[in-house]
Amino acid sequence: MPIKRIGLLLISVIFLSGCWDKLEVEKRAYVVGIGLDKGEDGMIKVTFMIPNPEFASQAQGGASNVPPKEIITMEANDLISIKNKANIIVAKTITYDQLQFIAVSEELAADREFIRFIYDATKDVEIRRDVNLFITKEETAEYFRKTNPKLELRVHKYFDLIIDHVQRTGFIPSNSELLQFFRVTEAGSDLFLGIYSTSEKKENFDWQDKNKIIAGELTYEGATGKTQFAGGAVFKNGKMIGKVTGDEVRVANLVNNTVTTADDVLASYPDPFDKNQQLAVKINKLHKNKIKMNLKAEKPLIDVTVPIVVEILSDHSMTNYSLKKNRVILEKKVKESIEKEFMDFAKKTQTEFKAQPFGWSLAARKKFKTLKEYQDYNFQEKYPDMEVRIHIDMKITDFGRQKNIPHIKGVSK
Amino acid sequence: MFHRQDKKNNSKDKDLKNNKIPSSLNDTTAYIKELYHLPINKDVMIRDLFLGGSTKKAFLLFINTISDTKIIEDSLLQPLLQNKDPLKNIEDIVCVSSIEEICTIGEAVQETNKGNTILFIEGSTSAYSFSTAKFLGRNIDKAEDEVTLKGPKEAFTETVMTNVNLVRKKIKDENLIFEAATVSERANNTLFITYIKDLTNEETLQKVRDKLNQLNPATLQNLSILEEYMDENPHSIFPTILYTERPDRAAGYLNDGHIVILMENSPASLILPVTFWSFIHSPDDQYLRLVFGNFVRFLRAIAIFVTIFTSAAYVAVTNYHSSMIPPDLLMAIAATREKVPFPALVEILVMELAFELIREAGLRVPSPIGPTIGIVGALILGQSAVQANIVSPIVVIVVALSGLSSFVVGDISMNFAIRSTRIFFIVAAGMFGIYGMAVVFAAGMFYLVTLKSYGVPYLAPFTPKYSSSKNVMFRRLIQKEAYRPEHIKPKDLIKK
Amino acid sequence: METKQSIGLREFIALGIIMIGIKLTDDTPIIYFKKLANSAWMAPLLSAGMIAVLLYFLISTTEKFDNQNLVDLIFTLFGKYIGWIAILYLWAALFTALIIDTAIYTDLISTMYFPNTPMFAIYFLMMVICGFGAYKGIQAIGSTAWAIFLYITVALICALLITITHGQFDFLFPFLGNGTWPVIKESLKAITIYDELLYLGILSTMLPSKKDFKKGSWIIFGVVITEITLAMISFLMIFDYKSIQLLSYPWHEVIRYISLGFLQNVETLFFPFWLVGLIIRFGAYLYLIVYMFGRLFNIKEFQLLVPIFSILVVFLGVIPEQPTFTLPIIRSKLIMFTVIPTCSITVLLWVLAKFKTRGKKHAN
Repeated sequence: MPIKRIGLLLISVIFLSGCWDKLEVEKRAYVVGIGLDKGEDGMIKVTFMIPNPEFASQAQGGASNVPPKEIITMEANDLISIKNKANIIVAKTITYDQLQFIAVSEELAADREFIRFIYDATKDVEIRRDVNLFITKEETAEYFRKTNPKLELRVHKYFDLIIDHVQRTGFIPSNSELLQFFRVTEAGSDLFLGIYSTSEKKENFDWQDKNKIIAGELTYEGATGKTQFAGGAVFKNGKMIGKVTGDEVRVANLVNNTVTTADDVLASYPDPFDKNQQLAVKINKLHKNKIKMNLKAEKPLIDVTVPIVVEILSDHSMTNYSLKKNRVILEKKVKESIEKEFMDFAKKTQTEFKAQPFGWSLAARKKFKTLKEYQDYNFQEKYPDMEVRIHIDMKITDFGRQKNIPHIKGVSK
Repeated sequence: MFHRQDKKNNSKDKDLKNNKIPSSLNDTTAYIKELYHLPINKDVMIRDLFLGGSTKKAFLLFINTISDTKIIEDSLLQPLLQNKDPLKNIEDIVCVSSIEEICTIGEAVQETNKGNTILFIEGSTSAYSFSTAKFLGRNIDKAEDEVTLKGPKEAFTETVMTNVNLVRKKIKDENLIFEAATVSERANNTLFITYIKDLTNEETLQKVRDKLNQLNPATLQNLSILEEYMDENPHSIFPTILYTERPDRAAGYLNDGHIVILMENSPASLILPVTFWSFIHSPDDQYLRLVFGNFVRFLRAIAIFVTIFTSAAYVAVTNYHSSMIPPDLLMAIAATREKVPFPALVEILVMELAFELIREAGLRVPSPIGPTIGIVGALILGQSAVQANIVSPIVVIVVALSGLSSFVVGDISMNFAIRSTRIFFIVAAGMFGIYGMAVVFAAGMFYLVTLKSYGVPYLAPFTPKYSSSKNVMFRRLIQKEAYRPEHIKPKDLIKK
Repeated sequence: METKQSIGLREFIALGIIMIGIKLTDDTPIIYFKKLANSAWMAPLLSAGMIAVLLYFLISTTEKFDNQNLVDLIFTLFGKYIGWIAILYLWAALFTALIIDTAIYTDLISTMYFPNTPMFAIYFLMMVICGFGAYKGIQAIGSTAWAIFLYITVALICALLITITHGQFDFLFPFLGNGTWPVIKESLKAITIYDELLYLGILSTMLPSKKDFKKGSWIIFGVVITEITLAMISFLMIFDYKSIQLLSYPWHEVIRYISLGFLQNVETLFFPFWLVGLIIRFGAYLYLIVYMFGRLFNIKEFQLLVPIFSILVVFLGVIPEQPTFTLPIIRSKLIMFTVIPTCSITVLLWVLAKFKTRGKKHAN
């Protein structure tokens, strides 16, 4: 039947047509990390970190000299056109499908123009909003080159794991992703805290307080990768205006209702029984903070209660905690230390940054009926003049595996 | 050794058959000798005798290879020869179980061909046919193709009477009817349409009878060929008539109101009208305990999905949607694929072809060499192909998985059907990724849902809603399965 | 091909829910978010009241007349000539809606999933398969809808659950968003949901029993309103009111963001379910269009018109340039042209039905 033959011919034509989006797996270069640096003449320098599949899939230990990754830096106008330009040297088609993080150098982040470049991420289909954003102290090109962790040779694994775990300890901000960045920037009433990292180690630095460190300040010895993650970069309206240390980030995390709570927070506070010792505590926040706001008053008031559950994990003053009076003093003093830390940071945000990274604008929104009223109020502007009180609702639950430490002459108080 | 044979005219034979039996025995003998090409045909016997009691001449015509000579001797010859009463009727003399009176030569020939013995009497224009047939056949064996762990293991044999015996053993009901028909001129095979009179829908029965009446093929050897004739959708990929070799299944379907067809020379039965679900159910599901039966059903559902979609999903995801694969796996795939010269689509198709070849060869290979070929096949395809960088190891796993899971579906036609749809999905995935797969899936669903066999929609009772015992994907407690499937329109909906 | 098709109640409900519910996966929510910011989720809820009234009118009209589907009713109650014009108008509205919707979705697929494929190829393939479905009849489409209904629902519930747990409830405040008056105005636009229910009235005679259309329509209405409201709440809970006004397709952005355990990027898992839902929706539209056309011009075997209409849709759909911007504008302008006639036709039908049956009662 002629119709059947024509039909078959037509159908076979479909097989001749191109499959336009088809690209084999091995023909793609999966960019796992992008670095953005400031270039000249309003351009940026883009660094690609491309892992090597050959290396990543070795079943044995890897005795061969297969390079684990490829790092390329180029000047570009934006994130999107560089995909094709990179093919001038990279053999495979660049794809952002497996992108895990975008690193920005501090120089570029502090530039007003940065916001233009980061919005390319909304235009490209391949970049997802759960891509992590972090700020590096030095140029990202150098940062990528110096990042050579000894135990995690697969580069995508290293960044994945370290960001995940350090976020849980509270040293770096949680939810430092593009989604959060865009949301906070577009809403315009909060500060965005981005992960801060560096591969430069500070030598011969005068630390005021060795407990309050930012990336690069960790003193360590030994052979390991040089990259450190600690602290946060503070963004206001899409531009970086400062840095905060790791423990300040921890405060911001605990006081903020809207980010994922760090659940493995270990901190140290001055021991109430011995001025020279520090107490190791584990802080768990089980419920959301209670935020009371009175915005109609002459001086608007924000009153936050943070419910935390604390475990005392060390006892260097060798105090006997089974005595109730010691426990009472302990509770009171630890609570005071924590509250002081929180209030100090809150004051810093009011004076230095003039905005808060705690997500309090969301609580403020509840007080208004319409958006117009809220926008007229302009929370961010009024914030530096508000009275901020942070209370801790603290319960000490645990004292570690062994409750009591012996009383030793000359050591215990 | 063999005599030279003269060319004969066949149309003369046809006219001969329509003649009435002549009263003269010599004429009859002449006709018979001509029709049966005696004396060349060595097993056709003519036994002349004088009827005891009277002096009439008679002869017995039978084919000794297909009739029971013991019965002929004991029950026919002996009483006939030793009869003293000349007035007794033949029916009263002879001791066989069934006697039929026939009038034409054609009928006599037909009866003799079936193994019966014909008695021609001098002066009589009618002859008697006695049933003495004894065809040899296989004993009742275990079911080889449809294996169950629990439950009866008998299977149908090629002798249709044995099959009828097996079915009657399971349903001892006076309403169980076996309608007989003879199909095809040369083969003269007996065909039984079986049903339970007060359950089966009359219209469906009539449709089946009409379809059978329209058949006029030259030779219809067995049921498998009849299946194609009876099928309302012979071009379709999906089977609409169930072919089973287990009498317990046939009895189960009879009880639900279906129609079963049995035929000589076929160790199986056809069940119609059936739906898609009959093909993916196995009798084991009913015989195992509720939880385990449902677990096996669940496993089968997963196996069907794996068979149809795995290879295609591999092609679609690696070519079009590589973002979905976790980075470690992606690196592994990319690394192994770098050494392979073919695109993923071609790789998968080549491996599928190889797997089908192994499967088909495994069926036909004679048992002494069987295991060797198996090892060689596995070695060649598995190890060496991967090491020679012709295929990547992931593809071997994907194809093997999808091929093996296809065997979870027991019925052979459905097995083929599912494997064929796999190819459509793979090609569609290669051309359009998941979009192509979704389109083919929708097209397949549209097609399946409108497929009908003898008035029964293919996916009933799942889609066009009919009341039934809800034995679609998972089964319930047998006590709760109280209804017969409404979509085949039985006369009595409640199982009693 | 049977001319009298039938469809079961389950299939009808599944078809209705999929057809209308898919609206939440394109840029329909954005229309509300742009004007209403974070009170956009109230729009479907408020319009639910009005839709319920209209639905009640429609159902009571169909109940009064046996064996008359929507087209028959219009012919009976409006008379031959005005009825013809009314059906022509409805037909034109549905046809335009099909063209614009398919163009929007094709653009969506092209942007989000297949950037290098020409739009024509995607469009063509979509219309071929929808045409095949429409050719096989509404029974095929309904049964397919029921067959995959379970999986689509499970996928949707998973996505919504994950989104809501990842999201912040506080984003919904301030409650009234841009004010109460805009909410009421926009909720009037949400009556487009009722449009689809009206067209489903054409299938009312194919259901097994008289009560089924009433039961089915109310269930579809309830489920769809809940679905759309929940979806809009969940979108808002992940993206804040400002971000969401900038997005093009919130559903697709959401499924790109969420992750299921070790699987980071799961949008490919939701993609096939969504696609089959689309095919069902457009297949049903095509069938209704071809049916109405057949009734208008007395064509018995209207299935044969399907290929012509499919191709026509493709060619008309590729006409707009810059589809991302022009199509939503066209659609929002056309809403007024479709909503007002549909509502008035329903009300008029109800009024006339009341008159006619009152007349009958008096005659008795």
